[in-house]
Amino acid sequence: MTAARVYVLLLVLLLATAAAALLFGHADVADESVRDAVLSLRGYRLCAAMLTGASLAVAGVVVQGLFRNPLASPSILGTTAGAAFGGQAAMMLYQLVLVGVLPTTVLPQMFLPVGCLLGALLALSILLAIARTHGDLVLLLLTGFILSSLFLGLGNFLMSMAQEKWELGRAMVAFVLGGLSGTGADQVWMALPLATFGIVAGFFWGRPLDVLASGEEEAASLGVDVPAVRRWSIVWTATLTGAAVSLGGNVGFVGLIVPHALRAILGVEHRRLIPAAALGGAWFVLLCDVAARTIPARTEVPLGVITGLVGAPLFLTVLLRTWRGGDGA
Amino acid sequence: MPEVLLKAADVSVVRGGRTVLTRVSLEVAAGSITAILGPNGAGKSTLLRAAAGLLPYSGRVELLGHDSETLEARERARQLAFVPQRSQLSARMTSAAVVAQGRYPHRGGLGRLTASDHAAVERAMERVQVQELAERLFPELSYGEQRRVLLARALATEARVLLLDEPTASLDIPHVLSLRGTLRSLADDGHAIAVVLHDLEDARRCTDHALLLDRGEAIANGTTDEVITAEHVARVYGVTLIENDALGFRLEDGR
Repeated sequence: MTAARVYVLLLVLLLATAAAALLFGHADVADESVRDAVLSLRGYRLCAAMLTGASLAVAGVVVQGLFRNPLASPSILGTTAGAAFGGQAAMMLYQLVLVGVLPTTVLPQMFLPVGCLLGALLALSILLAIARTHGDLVLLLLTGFILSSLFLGLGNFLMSMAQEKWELGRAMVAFVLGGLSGTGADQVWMALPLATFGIVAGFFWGRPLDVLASGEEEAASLGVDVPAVRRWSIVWTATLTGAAVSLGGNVGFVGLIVPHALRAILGVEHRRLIPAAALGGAWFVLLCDVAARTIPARTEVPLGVITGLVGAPLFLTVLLRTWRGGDGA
Repeated sequence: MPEVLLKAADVSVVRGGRTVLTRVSLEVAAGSITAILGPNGAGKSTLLRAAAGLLPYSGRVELLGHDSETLEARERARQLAFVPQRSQLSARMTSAAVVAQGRYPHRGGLGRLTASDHAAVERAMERVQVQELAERLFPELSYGEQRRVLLARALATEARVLLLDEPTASLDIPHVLSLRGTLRSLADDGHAIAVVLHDLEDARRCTDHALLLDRGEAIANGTTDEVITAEHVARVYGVTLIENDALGFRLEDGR
């Protein structure tokens, strides 16, 4: 299938799912008294879902190119946990230290995405420093696991400290649990430039990432400025992960599932993959969010639970295939 | 006097606190093939990588008369191509896409492959006879086929200086003979070629000049016949050189 056909197909699926997400739900849009409010809430929620999915899927493509490993993804490598910790730290910093001190022009909503971005940047920098030179899959995955545990632990520590302030503690718990139910215009507008910037930048760094697939030494011999590719890929991945986590919390496996599925159809070229990953990721998370909204349960099923239920078995499948040498993509 | 395209002067390399190359000099001229010889751990590959700008070094490396360190990475790659012994590429990329990577120094990260890029890729694949491998996935090729694709990628850069790390290692006889023929024809076209070799017989048959290294130091430098002598071989390898007729081979088509 050509890349253009894949893009069109994904766009059609995305638009159809978006229309369904707007029109169907517990509230009835035929009721004129609630229609505007319901459509507005659903509209921002579907925008948040699409931005979260597109960001995580493109971050997955970029980080897989950087580590030359199809099993790398923001959630597996501890980047989402780092972003979540950064978000928690930012919330705490604002509520306990900066509220009332900062001028009113500085919006509190700005702190969460910036904190998430810095947390993701910190996690990726540590990972790269430890695992880059060895290129060993086990070391990469173990380092990601350790970083995830570390940042989850640090985040829990912050949460335990935040319990003294009831409102802050509640907000931090809601943020860590993830999901898009409370997402409004402010969060979407704060994350939109980060996500757009990260996706466009990732696309333009696609060619050097293609050459980097041959290893750092060969890429350098072909004229790739490897330190610059490494540095900027981390920045784009952190930007995208920060944007996604600030919207949806810790949503796992999107950056693994979507690139993996698309690579089987489109091949390994980053400039073909990244637009498809943006569309495919947006569609996948929107679909999962619709499922989260509509699956019968006492309360709404968290988005991360749905992506985890789909992603974890697939991750194990890919891991086993890679281990047996059957898939080196 | 042939033009010297690559000139390394007093190059030293320190890795992990240990000096692995001590003030080694090397000149590679257009139209010639130079062998870099020596036992394991002599510093052959290190010298090649330093000359290619892939390792930090002290001393001076000149590429077509310019200090290599002052050249921008893509500019250097347009003048010098490096062929590793084995590629780390495991992604499911076609051979044609791998060869097309050789155009990165010309077009960088932006822009599509132009008609001249496609022509350069075609020429490179034809030269190394890998057209029939174009649509096959690189990781699924045999070791010998991968080596040929990597050489085609180096040729696609259109660099005049070619550095090859053990190009004949683990190749069967027809591939070795074919590679020797390709290298000679590239040299005849004005390329300056340096190859790391283990096999002294190989060096005698396909190179014009040689540099013999031992424990990071240059032992002999000159024409291949001047370098591969009983005295040098005994000193560096600790074995006696026996001059006799070795087995000879040629390809069926006479090359």
